[in-house]
Amino acid sequence: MLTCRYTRARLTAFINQELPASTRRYVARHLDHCPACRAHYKAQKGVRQTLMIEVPRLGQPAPQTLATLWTQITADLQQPAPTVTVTATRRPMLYGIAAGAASLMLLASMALHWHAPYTALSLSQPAPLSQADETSPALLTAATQIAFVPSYEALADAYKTPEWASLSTPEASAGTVPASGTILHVTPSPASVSSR
Amino acid sequence: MSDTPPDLPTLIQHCLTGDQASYAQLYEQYAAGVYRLCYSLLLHRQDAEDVTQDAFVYAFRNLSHYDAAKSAFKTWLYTIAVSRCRNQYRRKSFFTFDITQIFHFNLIAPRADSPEARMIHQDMRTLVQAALKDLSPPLREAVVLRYGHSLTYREIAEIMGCPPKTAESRVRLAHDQLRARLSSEGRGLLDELLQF
Repeated sequence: MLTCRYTRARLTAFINQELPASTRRYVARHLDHCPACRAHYKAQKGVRQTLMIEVPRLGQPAPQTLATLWTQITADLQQPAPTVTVTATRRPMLYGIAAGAASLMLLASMALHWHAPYTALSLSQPAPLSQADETSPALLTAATQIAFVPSYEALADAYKTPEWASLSTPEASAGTVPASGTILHVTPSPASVSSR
Repeated sequence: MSDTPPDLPTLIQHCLTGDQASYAQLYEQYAAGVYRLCYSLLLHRQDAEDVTQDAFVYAFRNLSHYDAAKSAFKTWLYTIAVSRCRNQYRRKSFFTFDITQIFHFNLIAPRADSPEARMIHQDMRTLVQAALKDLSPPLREAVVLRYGHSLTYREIAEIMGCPPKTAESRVRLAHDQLRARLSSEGRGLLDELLQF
């Protein structure tokens, strides 16, 4: 309940008499009517009483302890105050070297990534379609056929049809490797298809 | 020389002129409080002695830097002690048990109490100490300064380096956690203790 939560959040302050008069009245009225919050209040009050009794008693020094400490303090005060000297150590230099190496590695990896897309394009990508003759219907047909890559089984079936001969090129029949970027219809040999 | 002890500003002035008796008087006035504070925060006898010694040596060496217009001498001294306690628990990173505490060696008995009451107080002190040990350092500092040294939230805030509202909420949080711990483990003891 909201009132219970409100009251319990203020119990410590209520017990220590730290609440403003209006809040104190409100909490007191709630405690009169709510047995659960009253039980909390009693427990809190008991704990406060215990803390008020026991915490000041913690670590009560024996007189001889304080006397011994005083002797040590006076002895310390006789000594000159320690001066804080800042000496140049090799550690900052090591940190500098490590930071430099890390920066170099980062720059090297950035440089590699910077050049990688161009390398990949020049090696594996075909020439963009816009640079070619877009008006040629034969080239458009070839591009469509490349987009759909047939399986070897499909090629083997196609090989058996009469249209196959008209699709094959002299380069493919001769087994020569065409120049990079040219669009081809690859004609597998019957032996390689049957071995699959 | 008059028999009445000089007030604090005069005592500090005498210290600054190099008067050893004034240093001793200043130490006598605050040593027990600083030691109790250190012990309650560190919960280790030897560490508390070391930190007390260190705090006093530092304070006496830097007495010329103390500005009465900015804070009370007690607050200034406690700030130094708390700062050193923080260094100590940072260095240790975990708390070690003081064997003399486990076996109740050298415990100062409550005044004019029956043996039964003394036993209960001892048990309760052990329980409170264990509960304090479970608190996080900021909560422990807040509760020790509040209940162990009866400081106001403003003074606690000054020592802990936080706003007074934060100090207040830390005391409340610590109180809630201690209630949960002490109510579950020390219900019977608490009731018995409150009878005396």
